Amino acid sequence: MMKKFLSIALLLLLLLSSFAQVFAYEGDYNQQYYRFNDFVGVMSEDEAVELSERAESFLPIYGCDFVICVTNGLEEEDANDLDGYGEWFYRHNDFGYGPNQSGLLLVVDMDNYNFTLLSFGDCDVLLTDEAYTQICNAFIDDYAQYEPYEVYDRFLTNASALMAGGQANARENKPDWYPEDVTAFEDFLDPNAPRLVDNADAFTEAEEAAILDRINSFKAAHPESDLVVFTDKSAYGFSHAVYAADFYQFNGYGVGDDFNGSIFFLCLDPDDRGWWEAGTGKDEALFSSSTNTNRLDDLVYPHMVDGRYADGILAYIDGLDALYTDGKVPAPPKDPANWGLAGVLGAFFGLISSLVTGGARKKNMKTVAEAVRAANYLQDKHITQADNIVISTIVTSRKIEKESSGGSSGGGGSHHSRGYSSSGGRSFSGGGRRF
Amino acid sequence: MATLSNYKCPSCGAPLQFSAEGGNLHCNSCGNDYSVESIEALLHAEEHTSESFDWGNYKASLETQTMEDTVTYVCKACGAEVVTTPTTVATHCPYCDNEIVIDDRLDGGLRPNGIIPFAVDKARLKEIVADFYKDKKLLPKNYFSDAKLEEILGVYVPFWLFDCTMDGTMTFDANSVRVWVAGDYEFTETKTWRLIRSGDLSFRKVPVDASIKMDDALMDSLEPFDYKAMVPFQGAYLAGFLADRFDADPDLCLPRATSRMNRSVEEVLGSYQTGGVSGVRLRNNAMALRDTAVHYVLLPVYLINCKYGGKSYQYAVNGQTGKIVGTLPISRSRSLLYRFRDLLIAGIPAAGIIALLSYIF
Repeated sequence: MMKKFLSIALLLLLLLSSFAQVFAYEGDYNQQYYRFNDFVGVMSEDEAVELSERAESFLPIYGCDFVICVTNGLEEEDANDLDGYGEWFYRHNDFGYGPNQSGLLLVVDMDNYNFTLLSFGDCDVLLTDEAYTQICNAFIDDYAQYEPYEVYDRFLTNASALMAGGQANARENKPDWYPEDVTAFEDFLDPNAPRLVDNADAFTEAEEAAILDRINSFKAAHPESDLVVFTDKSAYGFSHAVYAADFYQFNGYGVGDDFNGSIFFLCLDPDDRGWWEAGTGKDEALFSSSTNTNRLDDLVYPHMVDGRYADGILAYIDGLDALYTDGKVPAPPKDPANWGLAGVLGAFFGLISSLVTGGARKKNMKTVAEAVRAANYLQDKHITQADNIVISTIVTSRKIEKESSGGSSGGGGSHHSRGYSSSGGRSFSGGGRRF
Repeated sequence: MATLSNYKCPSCGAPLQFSAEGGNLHCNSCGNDYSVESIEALLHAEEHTSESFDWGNYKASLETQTMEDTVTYVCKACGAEVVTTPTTVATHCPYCDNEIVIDDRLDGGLRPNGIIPFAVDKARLKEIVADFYKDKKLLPKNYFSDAKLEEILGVYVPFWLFDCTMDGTMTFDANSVRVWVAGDYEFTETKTWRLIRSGDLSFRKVPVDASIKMDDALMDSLEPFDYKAMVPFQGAYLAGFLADRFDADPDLCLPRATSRMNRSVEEVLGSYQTGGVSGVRLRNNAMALRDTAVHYVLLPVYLINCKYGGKSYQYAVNGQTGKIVGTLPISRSRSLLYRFRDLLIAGIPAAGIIALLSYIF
């Protein structure tokens, strides 16, 4: 009997602990803590939050947690040196992506002008000695010539670009257009490459023609920018963001020396369905605003969830056209008023109101009630003792959840990333959703 | 044989009635008015003097008294035999309509300490009742034509007025919650408090109706009475009204007064210097009664009995202040109609607003 009880208790404990894991890891990483931890105050809080959000946006793109800790001395637990402190800091705060907690941690000791770069999980394998040296040298150079915010912003750019290249080379399964060695890839421009590539067979021939017409009219209106629409049945294990950026870069898209332009990638992998839009070169600035990408996503979402992919693409290009022309994306068309829901809720409120007023009206018909107080007859009072004694004090604390910036009105989980790198090291900004 | 008082007009011998409007005794036959004191002086000039009620003295003699179901009296005006209940103090002779006050139920230990005379007359009473019906939307449509006002009785209802001091200690449990933010954390401090309050609170003239047949809730609802208008008891005030003697003794009524006083003491002490704590709840009551005293008084009440749809409804009007209380019949069809109307009035705008919000957002 005792054994049975113990087994049930253990099972319950296991279930509880797994629930705790689920709540702590919303997705594949712990969202509770800031990625940029400034214990010294080298920059403003707003800047620190912005860097933290940028680092966090890289997590699903690269599957790698980029964490920065700026401290002044090693006062914390069991740490004799900066590496030990970094190890403790990373593990103690439960950083890292996925089950083996992949990530990079930069610890900067402001008291001793010292820093260390640590790698964890998969990133430990991907961070080669060469990449390690490159990141550290770039950080030292940047530290000498930039303000703190730019120093750490550039660190994130460099580190993420090297991780992306390392990840791409390490991957075995790649699409046929992918270069063998991305580090050896040389940029080129191919004005004749198709601007609509429908590998997922998402469109009919008529739809393809309509989309191509719309792309051409867009390009005619904005000759300084390229526009590519690409669909695929799989992202080959890459994130949508990196896969879209790689497709754009490795197939020679873009206009001018900066490869100006943007790409819309639609992934129809049943287990990884979603889209990503991204811009690079001069056009990257338009996509670095989460407001712009969220609004574009809001235009696309209703069509995608209904399986009307071509309509979604056309709505996207219309929105993009407005963004390039007016600097802002128009609001999505309003859904008609939901009269069914309004009727049900209205009836509910009416019923509640009717019950309340009906009750008051009924109460008005009965004005008889037994008296329970004698306050009217209290003539005199003398209070001789009034002691308030504390019996117990309990203090509890909870972590304040961070508010996510750049909300979206449409459905689906929205994601935005500023200044991430393609596997070839080119900078893109963009956003997307799953559906 | 019981002693009866006849309040007759010294001029013409017709029965006198107490006038709520003038506060004196009025003769409907010759139109003369007499003060209560002068009539009482005439009546008792050759009779015994009365002493006020004393519960301590009376209590000892109670055990020897018996209450029979009915008691018979002989009317001094016409000689007819009048049958009353054992608690009746004032009534009418059914044969000559003479006002009768049964003196021996008001004498000795049974004489009330005070009385509040009626101040609301029958004309004002009709206005009060009409106003009472006015905003009662659920009254059946044909209520006024079908309802039968069976009787309107001006009754002096016996009340005990309790004086006492509650002395001792009450302890309460309470909580206080403080929330503050430090860094990325929100802290919540919950304190449990024990509040100790000692003192004495004096109550004066807490009323409890002393008639078993009176509905306690109905009588409670008539409060408050203005005790400033209370005068020493004179039998003449009863002329023209009905009056009952108490049949619930002070020992039976004291728990109701104590319960009310306890509740008020709890509220006063529980809210005294709490210093921002909340959720105050009584943990222990160690209050004791001292300096108790009881007064026997008659208070003026109009009782209105009404029959509608086979059911009896009773209202009561405070004969001093005009406050009216009671329970009225509810028309089921009107109730449904109003509920449907409320549903539409609230439901349609709510549906419109929700539809608009669903369109905007």
